[in-house]
Amino acid sequence: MGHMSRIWHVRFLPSRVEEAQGVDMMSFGEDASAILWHLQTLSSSSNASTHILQQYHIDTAHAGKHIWSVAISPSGYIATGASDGAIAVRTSTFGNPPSLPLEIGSPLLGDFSGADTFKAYSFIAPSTVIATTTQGKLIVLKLQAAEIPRIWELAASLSGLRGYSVVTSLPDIGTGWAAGLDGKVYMYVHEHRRLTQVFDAGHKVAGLFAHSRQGHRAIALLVTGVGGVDPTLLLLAPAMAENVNLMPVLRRETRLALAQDFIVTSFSIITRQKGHDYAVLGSRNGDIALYDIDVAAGASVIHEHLLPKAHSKEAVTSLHWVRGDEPLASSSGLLHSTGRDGRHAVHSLHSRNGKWSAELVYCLAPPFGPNIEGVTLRPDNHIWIWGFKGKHFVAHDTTAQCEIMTVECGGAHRNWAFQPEAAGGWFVWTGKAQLYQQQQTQLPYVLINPGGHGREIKALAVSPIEKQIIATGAEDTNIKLWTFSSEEHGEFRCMQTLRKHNTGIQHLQWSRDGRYLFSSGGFEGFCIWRVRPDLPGMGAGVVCEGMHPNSGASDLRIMGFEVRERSKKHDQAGGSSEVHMAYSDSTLKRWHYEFPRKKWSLVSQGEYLTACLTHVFAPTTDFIEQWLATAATDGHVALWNGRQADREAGDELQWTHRHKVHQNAILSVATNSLPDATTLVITGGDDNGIGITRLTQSGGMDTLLMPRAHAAAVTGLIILHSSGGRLTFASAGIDQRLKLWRVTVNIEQSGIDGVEIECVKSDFTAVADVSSLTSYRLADGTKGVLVAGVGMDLWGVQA
Amino acid sequence: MGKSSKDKRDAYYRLAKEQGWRARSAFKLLQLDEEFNLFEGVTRVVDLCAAPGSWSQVLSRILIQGQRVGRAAWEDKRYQELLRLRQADLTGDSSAPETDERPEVRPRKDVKIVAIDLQPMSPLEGITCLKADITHPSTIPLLLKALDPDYNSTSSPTEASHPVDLVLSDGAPDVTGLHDLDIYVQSQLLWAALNLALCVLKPGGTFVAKIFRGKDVDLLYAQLKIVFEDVTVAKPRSSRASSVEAFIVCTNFRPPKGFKASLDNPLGAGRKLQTDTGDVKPQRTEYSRKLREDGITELDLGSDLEEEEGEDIRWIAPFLACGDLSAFDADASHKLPEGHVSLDPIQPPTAPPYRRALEERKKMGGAYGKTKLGGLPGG
Repeated sequence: MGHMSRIWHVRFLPSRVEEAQGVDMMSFGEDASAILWHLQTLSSSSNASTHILQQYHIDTAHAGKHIWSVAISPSGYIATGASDGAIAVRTSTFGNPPSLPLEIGSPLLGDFSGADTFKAYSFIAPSTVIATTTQGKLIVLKLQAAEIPRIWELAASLSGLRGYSVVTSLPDIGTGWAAGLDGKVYMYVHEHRRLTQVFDAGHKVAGLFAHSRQGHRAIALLVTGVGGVDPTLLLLAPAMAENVNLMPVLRRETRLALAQDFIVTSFSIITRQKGHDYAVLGSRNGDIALYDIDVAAGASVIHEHLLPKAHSKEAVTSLHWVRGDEPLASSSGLLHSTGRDGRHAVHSLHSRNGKWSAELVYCLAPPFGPNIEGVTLRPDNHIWIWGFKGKHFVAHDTTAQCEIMTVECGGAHRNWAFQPEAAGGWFVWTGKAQLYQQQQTQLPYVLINPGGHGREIKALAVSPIEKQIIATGAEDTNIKLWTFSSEEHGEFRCMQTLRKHNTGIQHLQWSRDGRYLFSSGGFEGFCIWRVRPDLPGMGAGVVCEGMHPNSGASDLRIMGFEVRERSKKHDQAGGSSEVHMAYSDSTLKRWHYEFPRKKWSLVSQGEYLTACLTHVFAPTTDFIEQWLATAATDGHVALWNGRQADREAGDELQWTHRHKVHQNAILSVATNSLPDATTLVITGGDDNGIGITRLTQSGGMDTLLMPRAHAAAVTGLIILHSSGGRLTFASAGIDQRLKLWRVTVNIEQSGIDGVEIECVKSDFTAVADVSSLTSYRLADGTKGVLVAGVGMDLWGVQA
Repeated sequence: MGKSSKDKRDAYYRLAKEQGWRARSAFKLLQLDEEFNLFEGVTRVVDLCAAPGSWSQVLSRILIQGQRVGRAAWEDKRYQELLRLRQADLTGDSSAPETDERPEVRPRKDVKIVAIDLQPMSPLEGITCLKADITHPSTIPLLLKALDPDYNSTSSPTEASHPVDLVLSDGAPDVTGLHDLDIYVQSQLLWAALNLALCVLKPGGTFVAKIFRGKDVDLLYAQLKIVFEDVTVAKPRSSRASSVEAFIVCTNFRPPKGFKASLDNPLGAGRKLQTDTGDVKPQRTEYSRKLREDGITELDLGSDLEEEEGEDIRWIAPFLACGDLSAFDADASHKLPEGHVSLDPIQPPTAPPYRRALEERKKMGGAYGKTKLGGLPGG
């Protein structure tokens, strides 16, 4: 209760109702949450009146930290602005009070002794729940907003459901099932209010899972047992209206043989346009198994394909199949799954000649968990996932990257049911032996501006392929992938948020084919992300391919790194990269990474001096004859024996040349090769200066320095154009200025004698604390400049 | 994060504890001194925003105790090096100039140091500590009284009869993380410190203050340049490159003619200087290209660069990194030597903002440093 941080604002709210006794208040904190309070004054005879302050609702519309600004309109709209740059407006707080949890209570069951309580339940239709009780009753509850539900009793007391029962349902066809200790499975069709026994498993039923196969006009019901009993898959005719006597028809009964230690926790059906349908089962141990179910009745089926440890060793809580769009790819699609490992995963499945192949194309942690419990595709093609965060139930829209609904319910360890509806839905849960309900029909807030990182961006990289993806890494420890749409006023849209690092991000780099993103941070954190730029319905598919084994080993920061690709195709045999990492303790290490085996090995290492290295870079693009260079907080550029020619495995890395450019830390670096095989190394310093150093092939360096290029530290540099001896580059600093420079080099002259610089343009950027600059190809084909810091700016550059 | 992890993260934090400084910021002043020789001939100093008092400690050790730290220590090191060179080269020129004689420094006479802070500060011998708000006009008479016992508040309420040589300010707000706000509040503090300095500084005096380099810092530089001949922005090596912090070192105070300092009517708050404005504008520079001793060619594109908005109000102060390059790097991670024992801080916080919370918690039965309420013995 309350904020977990400093409170920046408290505001009285316009009264909701004519209530003399109390007043509503809202508080806004450094923890980025807004809390609605009700302050009630109890009437008392003495002068000392008693007040009760009650927390009504908490919303976390903002990411990261700090709600800085608040505005409240007389009509009761509350707008907040936070560090993430988002502006949230709460619309429903007044006139339409936030729906509070409603206790349903067991007296409703007609049992005033309180001995009977709700046991298992599931949504059978919008706002309609089928439930069992501990006494073995089977009932239907019709939920009503802010009112006690209406109730129908379907069966007085079924002995098999007494004490223990499980329930499942298919709300889209209004059908539910219940089973208990004796193995009898009851089916209820809401349309006809009809309850029938459809099956007798002959053993205790551990779980019931249902799936409707629209294409085949059949329902699949999986009945699982305990203690190594194989589950039974029932195929039922769905529409009983076809039957005169309204009896369900059992079309087929199949046994699915489970692998060892496979305890079924989730179930779905893979429907295909051509070929057999498949059942897909998720296990408590994180495995997912595929079964061909279009086989003869009574047969026992062995799984055809297994995705081992799809959710590490944690339970797979839900499965959802999305068939591929393309008409020819009828036997492929995406299998979504959620697990208690805190992840939402997507496998791309492909079947050819009865052989399945699977590739993990997406696996990320949403901002809640670790109990991720469900996933669905909404009618607007948005993907929602839900689960728990602390004491709250959370529903989240991964497509829009925003929170849909939160309910304080006490946590994950309870029975509950969720029915998503537009802008929210119904959530029913058990707490303190009572049943509670809460409905949301309107989003708790509207984001006028979706915002981004909760803290300042520290690293930036744009993927080098056609559909450019902007990757940003921030002090809030997250990496975000964005697209930019130039329509109207232009908009950055965050597609995915990558949560893995435990500290602020230091550096980001894309592979040349744009399919891998490398990231580094503190605690020696280094990640390789496999990115699929255009995953249907998902924007981009992202999987953390691997973390460096040293991640978390010490508190060293990997200030910068440089990836040299040894092969064109990473995932093929022999695909490998060489990664040079610059550490905060002045060491430089060369690692070798093999993609197919995901194996790291240390090739060589060396020490610089005592200064913290800030960058490691290859000054030239020539792959074979590459120098390796570092920049450090001592203002020097150093060259290392990193050239292919000088290199032998096991050799220690040693710097061979050291050249002073700045008075202290070098914060940004850009390089450009000249036609005479010399290189310009442009550096930005904490000393406000920009240095232009001409590097010869033999390692000679000569510097032209502009000591007062900016009014504060120069933190971003990017070369925009270069041809022959002319180039244009942009610089930015924490003075919030963006400058454009033109450099001409008379190649005939050596050193920096022939180098002339001109400042072409200087402008203020709204981005505070600029950390990085990069170029971005605009829709008209010209190069723009992307500025990142506290927020992001994209500038067009006129030639 | 234990206290030893901070030892690894920051060599200066560890060093401060070893050398008995109340805060690592002592090294910032020492490194500024190495470059600017701040204390030469200085006897009267005002230290603003002094708590916990590490800068006052530096003043105390150099001015009162006559210790050779800061620039003096650096000069000693250089002297030792010269001696060593001379011994190595006995055949060398014996008529070497005598100027490299080891300079004699003793405790100085008539030293007056006044330290001011909003927070209470543990006393330091020989230093007058005032608990006052430097942004409030009532602080001026307090300060003047502390500087001069015969100060008369009626005859010259805001001017020191015996002005001081040096005004220091290491003050910073409790940073929020909102950089715009932090930079704004820091600029306000700097402005308050400057207005106090204008009241007590003698012509030719020096003003050193913490500044956050951010948006519009060039406006501040230009404004400081109006009242000081030389304005340099300096960054000691003990200040992290990743921080926006730097120090403005303003030397040779030269108040414009007819200028009268006043906290009731502070500088810049709608006040006009009755002087020829041409006189106080920062100097403009021409295009120049010169080869420095260290081989770097310095390029100045001329002042046009800063004027493109038609406003002649911005000026970028020259930057100077302070402290030996061989000094510890505040950004680097360091390995702790084998068997390293993490020392306790020299001066625990005297009045931390969270003290009230700790007291409340103690009242409820909780203990300092324990988060669990009740059940545990207090203390």
